[in-house]
Amino acid sequence: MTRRAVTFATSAVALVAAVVAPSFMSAYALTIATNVLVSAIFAVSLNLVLGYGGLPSLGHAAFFGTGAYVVALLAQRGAGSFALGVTAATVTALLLGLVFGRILLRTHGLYFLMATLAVGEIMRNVAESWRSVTNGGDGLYGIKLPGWLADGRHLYWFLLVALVLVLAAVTVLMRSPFGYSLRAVRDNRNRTSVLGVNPLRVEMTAFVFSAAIAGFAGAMFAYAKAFVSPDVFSLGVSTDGVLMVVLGGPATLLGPVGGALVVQVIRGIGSIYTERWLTILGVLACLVALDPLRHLRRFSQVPKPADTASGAKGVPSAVSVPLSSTAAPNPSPGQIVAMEARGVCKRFGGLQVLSDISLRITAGERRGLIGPNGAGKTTLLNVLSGVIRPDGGRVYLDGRDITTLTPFERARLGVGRTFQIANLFDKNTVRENILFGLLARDGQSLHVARAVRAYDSVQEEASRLLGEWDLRKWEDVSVGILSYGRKRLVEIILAVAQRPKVLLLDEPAAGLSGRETKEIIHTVAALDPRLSLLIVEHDMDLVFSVCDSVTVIADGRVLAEGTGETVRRDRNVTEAYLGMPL
Amino acid sequence: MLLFFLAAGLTLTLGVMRVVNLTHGSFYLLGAYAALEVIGYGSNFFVAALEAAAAMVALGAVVFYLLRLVGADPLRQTLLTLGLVLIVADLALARWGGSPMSVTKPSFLTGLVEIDGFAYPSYRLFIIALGLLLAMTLGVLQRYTLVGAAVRAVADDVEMAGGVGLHAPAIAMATFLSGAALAGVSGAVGGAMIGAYPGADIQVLLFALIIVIVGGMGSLAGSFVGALVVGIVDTLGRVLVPQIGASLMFLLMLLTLILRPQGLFGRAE
Repeated sequence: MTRRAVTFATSAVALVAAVVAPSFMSAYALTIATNVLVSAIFAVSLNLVLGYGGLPSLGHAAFFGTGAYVVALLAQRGAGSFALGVTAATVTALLLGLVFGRILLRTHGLYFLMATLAVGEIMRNVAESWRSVTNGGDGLYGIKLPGWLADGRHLYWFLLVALVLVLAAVTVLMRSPFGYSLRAVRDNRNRTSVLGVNPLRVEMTAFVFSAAIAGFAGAMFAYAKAFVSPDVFSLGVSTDGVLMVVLGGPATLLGPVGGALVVQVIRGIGSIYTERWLTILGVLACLVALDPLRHLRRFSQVPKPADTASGAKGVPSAVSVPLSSTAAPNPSPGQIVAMEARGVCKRFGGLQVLSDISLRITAGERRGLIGPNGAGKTTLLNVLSGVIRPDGGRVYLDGRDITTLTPFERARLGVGRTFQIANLFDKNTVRENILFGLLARDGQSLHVARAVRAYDSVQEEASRLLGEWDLRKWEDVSVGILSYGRKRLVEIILAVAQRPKVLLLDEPAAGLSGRETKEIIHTVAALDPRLSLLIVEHDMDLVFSVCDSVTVIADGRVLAEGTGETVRRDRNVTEAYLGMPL
Repeated sequence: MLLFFLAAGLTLTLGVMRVVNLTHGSFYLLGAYAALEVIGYGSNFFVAALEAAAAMVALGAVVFYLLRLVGADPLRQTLLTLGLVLIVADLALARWGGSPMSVTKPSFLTGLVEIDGFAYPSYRLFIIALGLLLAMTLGVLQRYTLVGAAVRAVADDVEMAGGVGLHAPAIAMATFLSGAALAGVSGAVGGAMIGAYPGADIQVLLFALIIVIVGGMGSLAGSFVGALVVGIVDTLGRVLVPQIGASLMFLLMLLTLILRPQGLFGRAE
């Protein structure tokens, strides 16, 4: 049996067991089972942010509690219809997610963690202090389930259906281009924005979805308990969620469900036998964090090299396949200006890195950008691609002023770039990297409904690109374990697949062996001649064999500009490099 | 000032180790209980405070060791410290029960001191003096001594610090343990003012986190100013707008994160 079949069979058995379970349960066991389901829905929602999105939230109780309070408040006012309560709770949490997401997602890492924690505590304080509405710490009662759910088993089955639906929704989301984007943003935020995807919007979408599901879970919690208190906002609720997700396995579909099962069962059974079940939970959390078995597991999981034999030999010849077979013969360097920098200045603290740099790249031109270390080459590239905003001067693309645009906006207008250090989505396969780039180009990165597998044209194009660049046999290998040279190759494909008008290459040959450099030279030379290139490089073979013209900068100023030959003879240039006139 | 005590300890561990040490509040709580026990055996208040610090250093060493085992994943670090918080809170509840307890103040600090016609409890003045002393000591240490330079170097770039011959893990550990010691002392000192009770750990932790965010991670001056700002905002908030009272400092923190994410005295990354 394949792994897939095993997974499927296990899930089916588990589901059947879950469906028939209530018939064999005591009332107490059923309460625990209901808790498990509510927690599972909550944990799945958190997993969307925490696991798939890599955003460490300690304040997800804010949405859970909001859902619960919406139900309670509606019930207080007699508008207690179940459908209305659940819908209102979900929508309110969603809207709250929209507001909080905007604030919280401006922060990252530790700061995000603490900011989310603060948001949860704010909500708890509001619930506690705003007595006239929330009845403060005493909480709200009088939440009634409709008749058809009043039986505990019916509620259990309803929740089970809801959980399955939520899981199905998450599956669809994670197979869609949006799911790819979310993982891509998690793994390499900067890279996604250079590909033309707004990382903030991706995270925002995940956050809002997650908030809505958490709100639903909170609503169901209120119905199940018939009571809410400010505790639904407490740090404990959020941290329980984190424990469940990490225990079960972040960024897995069923992990959070398993985590919820373990935690709630320990809580339920533990509280019968001992008062110290919190200690047990704490020890469990520590064990999960320490994960004493992980070294063993890693050892048994050492990835098998896909095919070492051909990997060692390398594939220098095939990369010279032209990217676009329909390419017109190299047009004489046209007079249309593709990209232009005018009087760009940039200062870091007291250091003037760029002073008054102007640069003009015509359509189809291949320009080399060289200069001694510290001349400001990479800074200039960052200014052109929008990673850094200049202190003075303007940047134009096709005559349009793009100085104030963000990297992803520029990427959409046709500015592609590669990075000095291979900068890819290391945990994803080669194919997924390229798919992600293609989806980003087509503006489909945020589509949520259709599985990426169903985007036929994109899939075909990815296969074609992989074939042309002779990477077919590596397509299902994680980029992280590729050789450095191949990473550079994937990086260039990723940039070229964007069909940019101008491609900025930051030291494509840095750190490569002599043979790998030759491969890269072939590759770059074989690019579509209509594409304008700006190549920052120290390898002069590469620069002089690929570029039509060369700009030399030193100390943040343009030193010389012209064909390779004129630049080589320029006295200023030799002085800058050798420290003396020749 | 008590807040500064707490935040100074936390900012050390956060800034230097980049670890969200959620056990900081637990150190406080245990510090308070430890002082209680020792005083119960007839010990002097100041000796008790020192012993509380020593106990927290020992416990801190265990936590530090566990954190090292966990590795660099912030999620796992958070989970570990979270688990420890649960364990400590639960065991403390079992040992000392649920009702608030107060550390006995030294007898010569129980009275009032009259300044300018107003009467101040002498114990509060003592805390203020202690806080100022600590601020100055730490400030001088960090800015002017080799130890301070080493700590700052490790905070800036662990690998490079190792490269120039600093024993980075030892320095990180020393910093972490100092943080734990500070939390222990503040437990003893604060336990005499606000008491020790279940839930104090989380409350104290939240205060310290907010101050560190407002002031800027790893910055002592930031913690000092942050503690003042948060203390004033919180007190005024509770008096002026009791409805939202406690939320006010969280709002302050959110505002800081939006307007100046690195904190008042933090460096941009």
